[in-house]
Amino acid sequence: MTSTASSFIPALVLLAPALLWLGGLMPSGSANARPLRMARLNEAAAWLTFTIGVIAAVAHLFDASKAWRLYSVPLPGGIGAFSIGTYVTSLTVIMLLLVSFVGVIVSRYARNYLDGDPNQGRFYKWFTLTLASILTLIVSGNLLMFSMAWIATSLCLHQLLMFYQERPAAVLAAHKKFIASRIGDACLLLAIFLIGSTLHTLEFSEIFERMAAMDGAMPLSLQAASLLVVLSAALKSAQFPFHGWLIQVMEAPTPVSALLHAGIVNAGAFLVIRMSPIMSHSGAALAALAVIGLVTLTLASLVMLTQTSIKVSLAWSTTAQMGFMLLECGLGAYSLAMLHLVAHSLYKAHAFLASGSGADAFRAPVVRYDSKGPKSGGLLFALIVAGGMTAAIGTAFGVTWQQQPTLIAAGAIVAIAISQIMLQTADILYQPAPMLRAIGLSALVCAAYFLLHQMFERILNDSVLPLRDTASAAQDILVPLTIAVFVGLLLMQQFVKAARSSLRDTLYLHLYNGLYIDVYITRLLQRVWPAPHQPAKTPGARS
Amino acid sequence: MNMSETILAKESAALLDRRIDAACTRIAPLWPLKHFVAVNPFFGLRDHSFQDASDILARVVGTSLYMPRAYFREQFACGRIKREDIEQALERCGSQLDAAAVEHALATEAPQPKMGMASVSEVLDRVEGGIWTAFVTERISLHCAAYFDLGQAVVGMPWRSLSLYASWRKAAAIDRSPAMMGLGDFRAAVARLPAEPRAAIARALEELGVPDAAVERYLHAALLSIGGWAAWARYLSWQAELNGQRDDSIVDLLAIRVMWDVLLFREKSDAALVARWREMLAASMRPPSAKRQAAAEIDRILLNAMEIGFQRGVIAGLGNPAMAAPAARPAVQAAFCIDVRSEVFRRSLETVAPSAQTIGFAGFFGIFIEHVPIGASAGRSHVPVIFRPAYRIHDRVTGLDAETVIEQRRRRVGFSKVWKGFKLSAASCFSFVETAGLTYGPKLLTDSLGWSRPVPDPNSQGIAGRDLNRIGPSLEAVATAQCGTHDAASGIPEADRAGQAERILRAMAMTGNFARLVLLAGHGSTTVNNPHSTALDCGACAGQTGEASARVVAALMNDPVTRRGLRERGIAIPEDTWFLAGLHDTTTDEVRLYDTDDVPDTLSLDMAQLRQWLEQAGDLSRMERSALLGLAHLPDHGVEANVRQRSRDWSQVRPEWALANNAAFIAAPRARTSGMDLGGRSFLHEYVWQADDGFKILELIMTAPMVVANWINMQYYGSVVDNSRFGSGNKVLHNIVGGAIGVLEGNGGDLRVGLPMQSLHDGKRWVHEPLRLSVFIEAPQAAMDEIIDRHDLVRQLVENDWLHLFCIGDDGNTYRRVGRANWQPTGGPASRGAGRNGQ
Repeated sequence: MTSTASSFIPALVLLAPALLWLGGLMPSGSANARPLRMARLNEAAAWLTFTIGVIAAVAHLFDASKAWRLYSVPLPGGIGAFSIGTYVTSLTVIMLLLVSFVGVIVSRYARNYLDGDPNQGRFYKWFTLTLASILTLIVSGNLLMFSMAWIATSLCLHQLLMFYQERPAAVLAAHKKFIASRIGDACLLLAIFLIGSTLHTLEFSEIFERMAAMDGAMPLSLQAASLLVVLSAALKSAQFPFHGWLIQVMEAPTPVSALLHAGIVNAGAFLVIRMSPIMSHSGAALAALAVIGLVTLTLASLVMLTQTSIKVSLAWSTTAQMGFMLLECGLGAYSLAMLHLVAHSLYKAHAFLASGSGADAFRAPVVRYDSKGPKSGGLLFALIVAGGMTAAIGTAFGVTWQQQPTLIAAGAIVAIAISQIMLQTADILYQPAPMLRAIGLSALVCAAYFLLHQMFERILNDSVLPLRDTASAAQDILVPLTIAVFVGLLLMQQFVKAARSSLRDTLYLHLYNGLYIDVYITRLLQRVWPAPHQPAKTPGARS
Repeated sequence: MNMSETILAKESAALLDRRIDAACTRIAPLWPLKHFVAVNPFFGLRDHSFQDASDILARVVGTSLYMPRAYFREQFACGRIKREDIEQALERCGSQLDAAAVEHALATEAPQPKMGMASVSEVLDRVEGGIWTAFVTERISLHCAAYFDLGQAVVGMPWRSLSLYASWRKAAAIDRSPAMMGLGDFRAAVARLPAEPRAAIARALEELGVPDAAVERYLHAALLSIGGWAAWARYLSWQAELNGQRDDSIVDLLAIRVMWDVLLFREKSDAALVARWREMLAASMRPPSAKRQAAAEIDRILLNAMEIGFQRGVIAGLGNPAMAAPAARPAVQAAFCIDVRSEVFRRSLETVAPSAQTIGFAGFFGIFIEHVPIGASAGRSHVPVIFRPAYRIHDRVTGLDAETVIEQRRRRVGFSKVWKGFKLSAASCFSFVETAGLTYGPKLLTDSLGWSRPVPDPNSQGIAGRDLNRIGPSLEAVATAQCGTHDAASGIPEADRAGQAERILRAMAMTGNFARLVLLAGHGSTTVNNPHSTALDCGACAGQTGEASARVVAALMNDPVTRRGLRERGIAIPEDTWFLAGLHDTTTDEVRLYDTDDVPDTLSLDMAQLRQWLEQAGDLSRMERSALLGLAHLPDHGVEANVRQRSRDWSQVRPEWALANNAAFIAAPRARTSGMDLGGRSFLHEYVWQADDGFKILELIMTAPMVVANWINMQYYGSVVDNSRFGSGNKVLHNIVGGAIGVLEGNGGDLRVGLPMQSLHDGKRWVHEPLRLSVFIEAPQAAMDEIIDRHDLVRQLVENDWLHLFCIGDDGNTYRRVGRANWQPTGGPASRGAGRNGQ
């Protein structure tokens, strides 16, 4: 397996996290004494990992070598071996590029942002280690190594979430996350045990080969493993009802939020995509993913509409987007999920880092428009136009709707979205020229969607195992269900926005309060693991 | 109920009303982020002496108005407080102690702060060890955020048309969270509460058994426990009063807070809570102990000693003025805002251009305008927040295509709204991410490198770059079709112009000897991704930049109608004099000039000269500021590059130090101070009392700029002394709430007021030295006494020790105002010349 000629890239890829692991060895005390040097070191290391990512990406175009092992030790009980090694596919390369890029940006940002904080050095230490563990997770070629990186990510992140450990709310949120993560870890480890004892290997490449060759129904143990993977991913991705911690970690500095929302929270979706060889065999697991995703995205996106603070609103948005990503996985649309993962990471990293600009929009001149309000016929008309446009553009991109039911759902979601562009333009700028522009914009959005989908489909070809026929039975229900949920979401949104009824008022308040799940969890947690209560003191002389 | 009982009930209701209003006026307002202006957080306590206010706060919230002992100890150790400062302070405070006793006390710790007037939730926390106070604050804060939201939420709260209290009762009747926390009966109990907030408060006081003498303190404490939102509600009532209306949200908020106390008290009514509550009430009735009073005396002496140390240098400098004979005709006159940041730049400009004359005046240049930007539907006030604008000024576009520019802006802003809707609506946000999310990759990089702005610049949004230079405020009335509003009364009518101009010029002491070029430089800052960016702009322009005001006044002064009228009023501006508007960028120390195309060709040499001077002065100012920014090791161009980079850096939490370290306000002719290096610590107002007929201008200075300076000074003071209550905490945790209302720190909690730590502290030490403002005015003592007598507000500030007032005599000697109308010489010749700053 380790032919020297083709082991260059996999070995190089392993170097990326290794560099960071070394950088993170600095003790906190000496790191704090030289914050600027830590910042420079960290940024340089991040740039280096990004460069490695670029080299790997270029090389990957010419060299399809995949797995490489540096060190391996067999495990007892015939569950395969633990090995340190890498598994390089397009998925690996994309994730490596993405996370190291976000790492670079966040590292640069924190240099001035945390300037003067007595613990800036410590921040960089744990930031480096967190980045190292998430990169290890991305490149690892062995499930057990993957799971160790998975646990390490969460433990290192815990240090960042506890950056201001004198803040009780920060401690509370970190505790919440800690518990959710440990349950997730347990699920993952159990899943790995089941996989190992069934397939007798923990190497991703071998799992892929064996599962690709498997015909007929999957053994029960792997079915169970796939469900455990779903649970683990849902916990990592802050899915309902375990979303509370994600909403509350604004108690850490903004760069931590950016890294978390752009680089870590999507590890759940990454896990599912990585495990596609097994997931694609399990209709039940995929259906569970889709349902968890649907429920979460519906609730979280409606809650998001009501939120009044910028960071909390962004956090609910992340929960919803993660739900959507898992839904796409559940529909077997791994490439769309991957597109979503990358695009969302970049968008959300920017949104968090730029969250201080929120007031700028209110400093701009007030321009009032005579809004005519939504007309009942308008919505239907816009939906028909958008639907037609989507069908036409999709067909132009070579989509065969009958054979790709998943894309019918995806297309319907896009159609609903672009109908919003046209409707809102009609509402405030009702003139031919802006309307034409809105239609043009909608067509552009639609075309971009199908183009990007095709691109990611082609790129991910080597990384995922497509949905198996044995597992596709549930899709016949999931596709119409998804479309129904999105139409419902559209109507619900109109309802909470504009309706005048006591039902609407009640619904509004429950949504604004985040549907209370978290209040209950907080109270429970406060009993079993209370945050140290400290009365607010003057932060005073911090020197 | 018989007759006498009814009368009694009415009387007690009236008394309670007065007490409620008194507690509410104790709270200082909070301006929104879109035009954040400095506020004295102790404005509501100004009717008490500084020491009494400190005692009141200590009894209400447990913290006094003084820095911790450790801070003073450090100042003494490093020589900032000297023994002679302490000796003078002892005399000033009329203390019986001696310096040795103070120094001894300095080495010991002050007594621990008391608990203050706790709420039921706080007492409950102590009994149960729960998180009730945090929970109550969170519930109220969330409700207020939704009720007052300026546009963050896509779906707003349905009960915003009701009063705050009524909306809370509606929401609380639905809210399940108290039940989740174990308050099972909460929703039913809310339904039974009085419908009227004042009645609710009365009920609360009765049920909680608050003794008569503690009522005001209890109400004050209740408001301070949700102090951020109370400040916001106070802002709303402030704005309403300015417009002759009334807003009682703050009373509603008070009612909500005490209702929470009542409901907790009822639900949790166990013996331990009741006992602890009564104990707390009894403790709160006791006046400060002798030990505490003694400690307060030491604190008072130490604060005064620090202030004396600062004042000594200023007094010495004022006694030895440069007093150079004014040049025949200055090469250029440049008027800047009184802001302490202008002092540095003016000194630099005078250094590079000794023939130039600089003038200090409030940055709105005395014109009371509301400015309506091009294409906008509403205007923005550009006057100090204690006034209302008198004129509405619209933008004009030079060239013939004004309509196109306006339509284009409307359309572009409209499309950005549509795009935002696409991005944020529940059904389309997922497709937004998949189609447009990738574009944020390059944007992350360019924003990170400072090549692009994270969001569009609010001032130029929707306007093509090439059109920007053609747009500016106009003195003329603008046709309504063009401005999108339906108000025809815009511009400054010709009949008013000469009168306005005369008033402004006399207030600036500019009635003759005009230079060929007169620069009116407002100021503004350039920062990105900074929630508190408007805090760095001009306070006299209500948190906007000084651009519009400077341009309007320059246009007014250049207007032929104005000039004719001025001649009739005895102010002859020479034919060849031109007024030029500019903007001093306080972040980069560059001065941008406006409407330069209109400057007559005959002045082109003067213009070139001015530009060169401004550039050199900018260099000097940046060099001076570089030490504080930690750039002292860089060469000139390195400093300039770094400062520019700061102004574009989205991760910069200290783009500039703004008004940190402000400590003095001097109203005198510039010749009095032109030889002094005031280190960017002093507000400078031009004032020549000999030219002030009837002391009208003095009255204006003491009632407006001096008060504004006091507000700024006290905002810094409060933010340093008690950042958790009067400051806004850690900037890296700031979370903008309600669109542009303010910031939360972290997830939630109360709305935060005041300044963030990063604006006060560099990580190692306090950059702002918390001193009360020292005001020096060159004017006859009797004139000042008379003004102080006439204006309650000024009298309170002066006589209650919220600032120090000094008179500068014609001979340069200074006299400190002590007690009522008593002026004492400060030191005399002995101290003169000893501490001339930086010469």
